[in-house]
Parts: sequence; C-alpha cells; structure tokens
Amino acid sequence: MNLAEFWIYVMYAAVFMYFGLGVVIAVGGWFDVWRMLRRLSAQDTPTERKQ
Amino acid sequence: MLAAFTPWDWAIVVVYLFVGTLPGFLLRKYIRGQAEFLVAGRSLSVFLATATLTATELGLITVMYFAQAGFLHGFSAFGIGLIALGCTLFVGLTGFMVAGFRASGVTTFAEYYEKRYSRRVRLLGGLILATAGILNYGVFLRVEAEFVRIVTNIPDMVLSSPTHGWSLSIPSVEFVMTALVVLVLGYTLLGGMVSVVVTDYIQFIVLTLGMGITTWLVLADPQTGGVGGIAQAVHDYRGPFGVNPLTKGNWRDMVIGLGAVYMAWQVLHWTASSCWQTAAFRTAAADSPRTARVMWSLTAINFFGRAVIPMLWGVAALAFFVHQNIDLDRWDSKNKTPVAIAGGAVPAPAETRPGAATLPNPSRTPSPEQLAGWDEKHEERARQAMPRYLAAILPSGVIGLLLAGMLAALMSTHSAYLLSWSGVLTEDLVTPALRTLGINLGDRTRLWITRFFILCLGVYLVTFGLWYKTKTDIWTFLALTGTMYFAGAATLLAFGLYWRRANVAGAFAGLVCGAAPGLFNIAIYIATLIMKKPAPGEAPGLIVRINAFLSEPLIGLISYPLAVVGMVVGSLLYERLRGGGAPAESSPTPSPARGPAASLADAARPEEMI
Repeated sequence: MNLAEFWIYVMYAAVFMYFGLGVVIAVGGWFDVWRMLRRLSAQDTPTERKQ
Repeated sequence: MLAAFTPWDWAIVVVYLFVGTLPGFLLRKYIRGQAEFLVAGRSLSVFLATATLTATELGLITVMYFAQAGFLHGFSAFGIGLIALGCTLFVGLTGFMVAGFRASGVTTFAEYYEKRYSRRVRLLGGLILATAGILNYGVFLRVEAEFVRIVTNIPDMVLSSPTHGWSLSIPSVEFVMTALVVLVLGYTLLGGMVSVVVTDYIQFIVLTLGMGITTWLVLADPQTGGVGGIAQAVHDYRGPFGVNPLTKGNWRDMVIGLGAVYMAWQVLHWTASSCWQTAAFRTAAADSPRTARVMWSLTAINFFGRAVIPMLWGVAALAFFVHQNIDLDRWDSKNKTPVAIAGGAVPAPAETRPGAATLPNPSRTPSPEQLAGWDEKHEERARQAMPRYLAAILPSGVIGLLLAGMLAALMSTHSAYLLSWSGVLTEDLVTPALRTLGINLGDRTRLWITRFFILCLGVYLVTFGLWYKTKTDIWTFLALTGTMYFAGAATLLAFGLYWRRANVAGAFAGLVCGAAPGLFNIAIYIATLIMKKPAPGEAPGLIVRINAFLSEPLIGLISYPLAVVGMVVGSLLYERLRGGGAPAESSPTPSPARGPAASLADAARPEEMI
C-alpha cells in the first residue's frame, strides 16, 4: 500500500464514521432534548446542583 | 453542471433560518438564573451534549480553513484529522482533564483557577482567556462572508436618485451577515444555553445533511476524475509534501508542507482542545462526569470527520482546477468561465487516469509544476478554491442546502462563542474583581451583565470582523493568541487535578510561561513592521532573522513545555521558600501554599470521583 492509498482509506474511514455517528446523534439527540426540557421544568437536575 | 444560486436555493435558506431558530426564541421560559443561562442547568445527556459540542466546534470558518489546508497540503492535511481523532479519543476514554473539570462543578476555566489556586490567578487567567478568545473570534465573520459571497454571488444593492444625482452602494453580503448575527444575538440573549443547545441540535442535523450530500457529489464528480483523479492531482501538484505530513521544504521565502514540528504541535493542541472555553462549557453542562467522558469519546469521531471532510473538498478543488486546466487567479466566478493556465500541462482524460494504488510515492524533490502555484497569493487562492469549486459543481437545490448547512455551522458557532466569552467576562473578570472590592453580585444581576456583554460582543463582531477593513496582516497575531491561552490553561488544569504540590506560584508561572513565547513573537513581529525594510542585496537584520525562525508551529510547540516548566519550578520554589514539604495525601486541610480552595479540587480528583 502506498501513501496515497493509505490516505484514501483514512478519508473513507472519516466519511463513514462521521455520517454514521451523525445518524445516531440525530436520533438520540431528539430524546435528549425532551429529557433536558423535562429536567429544567421540574428542576430535577443532577446531584451537585442539589448540593 | 454550472448552476447559479437560484430563488429555490434562497427559499431553502430562508425556511431553514425560520425553522432552525424559532425554537431558540421560544425557550426563554426555562431561564431562571445564571445556571440555566450559562450551562443549561447541567442537564445535557450524551447525544445532545455531543451534538452541541460538534455544532459549536464545526463552524463555517472551520470548513474554510480545513479546506484551505486540503488544497495546500493535499492528503498530508488528513494527518491533522488523524491526530484529532487519537488525541480526543485519549481525552474521552481516560477522562483526562474533562472528568475532573466536570466533577469540580465549575463553569469556566478561570473559576477552576480560583477554586484550586487563588482569586488573583482567576483574574489573570480570565484576562488571558477573554483576550485570546475575543480576538480570535473577531475575524470569523470576514472569512465566512467570503464563502457566502462566492457561493451566492449576490450583487451589491445600489440605491440611486438620478434626479438628485446621488447613488449609494450597500454591500449585500455584509448586510446579510449582519442580519444573521442579529438573529443569533436574539435567541442567545433570550434563551442562553438552553436555546443554544436546542438550536445547535437542529443545526447539527442540517449541516450534517448538507455536508453529506456535498461529499457524495464531490466523490462522484467526473471532472476531478474521482478518487483516482484526486490522488493523481496530489501526486502531480503537491509531490512529497502532499502525501507525507512529516515532510517540509522551503521555496523562496515560503514554507511548503507541514513538517514534524507542526505535527508535534498538533498533538499538544488537540490534547488541550478540551480547555477551549466554548468546549469547556459543554463539559460543564453535561449531567455527570461520565457523560462528559462519553461525549468527548464520541466527539473524537466528529473531530476526525470535521477535519477530513472539508479537507477532502479542498483536495477535490485542487484536482478540479488542475484537471480542468483553470487559472484560479483569473476565474470569473460570476460567469464561471474557465481560463486556461498559461503553459499548464493538459491532464489525461478521466477514464485513463490511473487509480491511487498504481501511483508511486513521489520523489522527495518537488518538480517545477508542484512549485508553480506557490507565490505570495497562494494562501488566498487556496482559501477561495473550495467555495469556487462547490459553486461550480453543485446543482440548484443542493447548493441551497449546502449554504443552509454552512449557515447552521456559522450560527451554532457564533451563539456558543457569544455565550462563552460573555460568561467569562462576567464570571471571571467583573464578578471576582467586584468581590475583591467587597461587592457581591446577585444571580439576576450577573445574568443581565452577561446579556449586556453578549450585545457588546455582537457589536464588536460586526464592526471589527466585517465592516472594519484591517490595514495589517493580523492572522499570525490571532493564531498565536490561541496558543498563548491553551498552553497555560491545560497546564493549570492538568497539574491542578493530578499534582498535589501545584500551588499559586506555579499557577502564575505556568500562565506567564505559556503566554510568553507568543507575546515575544508578537513583539518581534511588530518590530519587523516598524523597522525599515532592508534594501535589495542587503542582509536582513537580527530581528528579521529571528522573526523568520520563529514559525507559528515552533512557538506553539515550545509554549506547552515552557508552561509545564513554569508550573513545576514555580511550585517547588514556592514550597521550598515557605519551608513546607508536600502535603499529606489524606490531609483534610489544604496547605497555605495550595490556596484556600484546594480542598474543593481534592474532591474533584478523578480517582475519588469515578
């Protein structure tokens, strides 16, 4: 494998990893937005806030 | 497929601006005080935290600079992406600095300095942080406007009255960019971090969609010859500097390639990147130290793509312009008229170009073709190549989606920066300074002061960054200010968390030593501007030679170890002068040398926390 070929593999890895994770974050983030708003509404924030 | 920016493209952009920012205005009801305004009540879960961190750190300016790096350095630029992946993954998996920072319960870096060291360290750290950050931020809009101008080709508005004999030309791009900043200011002022996080999430989706479709079209573009054609262009026009990031050379008075010093600097830079205040706010807003660690682990992948994907667009732009035999200096972006490079080699047709696998590694000696484009305009040419290329190849509709994605990137970055630097000014400069004078500000007062600073920063951004025409090259100066902050900040946090003997004197020495190389370089640079230029044939003076020797990567590289030396020597000397040894591991009382709030940092040590 020459250097150009190596960088092309790196490029494809970056493209697939970024967009693959993008889909996961887009789906997971939707639920997280509502979770955050529920927490803010109920002031049900994590531990050190209560401290 | 040379498409213009059509009304349909504008419609896509306007719909995005409405849908993408409306939630930001509706979320102000969740703001009760400074905790919600700055860190969204520390209620972010993993995916939302990762989305907002990625959207913040992936701005339009990021896309422009990484594309420029791809155009200039070919595949070698991907090395920066690999380093970003490795270093950020290390931070996420080990929790290095981020877990301790989150567990300490602070909001800003300088606040940590007060808890761990002293209030004076906080004031100095806050001053360096605010200065470096705000100066860096000031030039974003100018580069971003360049992208919008090239992609949309908006003509300036001309108002005239022939009867009264006057006419007024209003620069349209500046007008559009100002309107965007006003929009961002609106939802950031009202909803703070809560609005910023939700709009960041929407902006993350839009920019990922825009980037995805653009990347697919770039990879499938027959005019570059596909991946094989791109590899051929890098081989022919970038030579050894295009495939080996450790190779560097000089041509006339310019540096070609990245080199080992640059890559070593990047390792330190990316390891310390969690210390940048906009990123630190996301760490602080995570709902637990564990969430912060997972967020940084996932962000490693996003940082990898955030670097490599725009770089790919930049390399593809190089392949497009050399294979189409276009002289970028004479490229008519309005009519998209190709102008042939005088005497340029005509490339082989795409179907006959060999694949990357058949290309030999280039010789270490660059050819005349590889050096032909390296002149005093090469950086500007490289910066404009990617938007010019995308404007040429993307069909109507897609280019509107790309611009919507890039505006999403722009807005998410600006909202985060406005909030971060105004938070630093309020929490790390105004509040501790007034507390020193015996004045304690209430939560609501600090909230309104933060909002006031957001407004001031918006005015500064538009006047300094867009409308004000700088007369000198300030890019070098701005790049160095970032390093001046990073070196000291990372050292103070890392030693504060992991070295019990770190103390106030070490903190001051670390901050000063981290900033000193950059300050020295700026002083030398200013001296070269003031000094008379040597006549032709005359040997350059000492100052000019020092300035030429002190490259940005070298300054960046030595700043980090110098900050560490300052911290260690300062702490040990102070300890010795006070006649005390290292504090006992289990001592519940902090030693005077470690500052009154050191026990708070003890509570944040990773081994006790996890």
